[in-house]
Amino acid sequence: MTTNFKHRDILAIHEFTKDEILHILDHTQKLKSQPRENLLDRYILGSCFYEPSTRTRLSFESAMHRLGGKVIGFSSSAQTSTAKGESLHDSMKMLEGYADVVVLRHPLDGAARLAAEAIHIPVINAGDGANQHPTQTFLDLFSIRESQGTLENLSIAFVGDLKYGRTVHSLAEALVHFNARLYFISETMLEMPEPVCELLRSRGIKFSFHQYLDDILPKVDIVYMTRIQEERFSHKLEFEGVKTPFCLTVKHLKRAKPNLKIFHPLPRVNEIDPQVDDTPHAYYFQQAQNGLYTRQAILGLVLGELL
Amino acid sequence: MTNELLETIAVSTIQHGTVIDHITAGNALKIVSLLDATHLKCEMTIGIYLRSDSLGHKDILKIANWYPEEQINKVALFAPHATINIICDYQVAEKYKVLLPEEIPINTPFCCSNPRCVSKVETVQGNFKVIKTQRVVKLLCTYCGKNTLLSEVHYAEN
Repeated sequence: MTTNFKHRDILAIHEFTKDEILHILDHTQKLKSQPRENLLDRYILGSCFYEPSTRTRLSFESAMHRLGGKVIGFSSSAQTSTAKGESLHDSMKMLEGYADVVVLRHPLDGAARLAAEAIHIPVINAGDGANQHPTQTFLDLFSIRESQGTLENLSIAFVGDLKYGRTVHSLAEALVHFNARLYFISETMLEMPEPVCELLRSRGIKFSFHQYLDDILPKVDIVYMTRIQEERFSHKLEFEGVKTPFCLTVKHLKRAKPNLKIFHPLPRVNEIDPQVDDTPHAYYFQQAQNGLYTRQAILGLVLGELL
Repeated sequence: MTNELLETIAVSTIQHGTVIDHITAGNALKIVSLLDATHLKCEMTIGIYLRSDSLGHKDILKIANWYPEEQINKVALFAPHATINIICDYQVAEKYKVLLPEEIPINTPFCCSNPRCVSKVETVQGNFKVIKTQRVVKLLCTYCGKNTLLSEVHYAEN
């Protein structure tokens, strides 16, 4: 099956087939093993971050630089003409004249799709509100495969803010291709949303809801911890109603399977005790590093320099 | 006078044009807005909460000298049982039922109900796909990906 990514927008994980996902992961592996310093040396990346980001923005910019390309852009909306009332549509039209590919992070759901409709150069969604974060999902899948040797038939626990966490939404959607068994561990008010659950049901993916991590941890291959995302709550009172968030400690790991790996999209606040960092189960920093290679692969594919 | 003849007279009291019959009771004005019918400058008759053998009660809309376009099926959103009657010389020349469309045409004035959707802030037309399950009809916003029950979708009046 031919997988053509040239000029393609990367907006949402559900727009990719299993073969396309694996194609991206395979190129990620190649670039991790054999860097290509001049692959994108005639291209410019437009890095458009309307809200704060560390890992995603820096990994995209590093990815582009390490492939020989250049970067222009901004890291907050204060640096744009948004304050003057310029629409996202017009900002993207302007950028289309200056760059060959756009990476966009924006606080509103659906912003990346709007940008993609406005311009002809590829748009890569780096996170739009509480909606999608597809490149995070690709790097998560790559890291899972790297750590477990496979993506098929794994047991995976998602823990924390499953309602507003776009990373867990995207990853759960992607895992429908790989027959995963999913465990959702959260407070009731932060449960995985029904549309995601509906998709899982329609694809025959088994999942269950839980309130305690201890019961589930011995059963799983991956624990995906998430931060309670205060910035996504509609009302402060709703956020304040959340009880003490889950905290994974070394004590929890005594009953863990030997192959268990702990993931976190970062930044962490207090979801993972720092003592866990020194255990063989911690994988979140390797996960973050894999973002560099994953984003290199995606940039190379959408610019047509990787086939 | 036979029931069929009575029904024919009830439906076709315009010489030429279109009668939209079997509109869900109470939704005729939504159909008028959906079709932007007030800007058509055609004679229009609206019947609301009329008795109906099949529906119990119904609305009806008669538009003289106007014929439906390809996107007439969007009427099914508010009138899933609607019948389109094409009238020529006071006679029903053609009759067909509307079908629920797969997508909502881009100029249909629905608004996404997600307060964080980009369509709330940017000047874009709402763009929706229709998802029909066994019991309900939902609209999927193609921007933010959120499903909303048809009955809960915000509707921008003209």
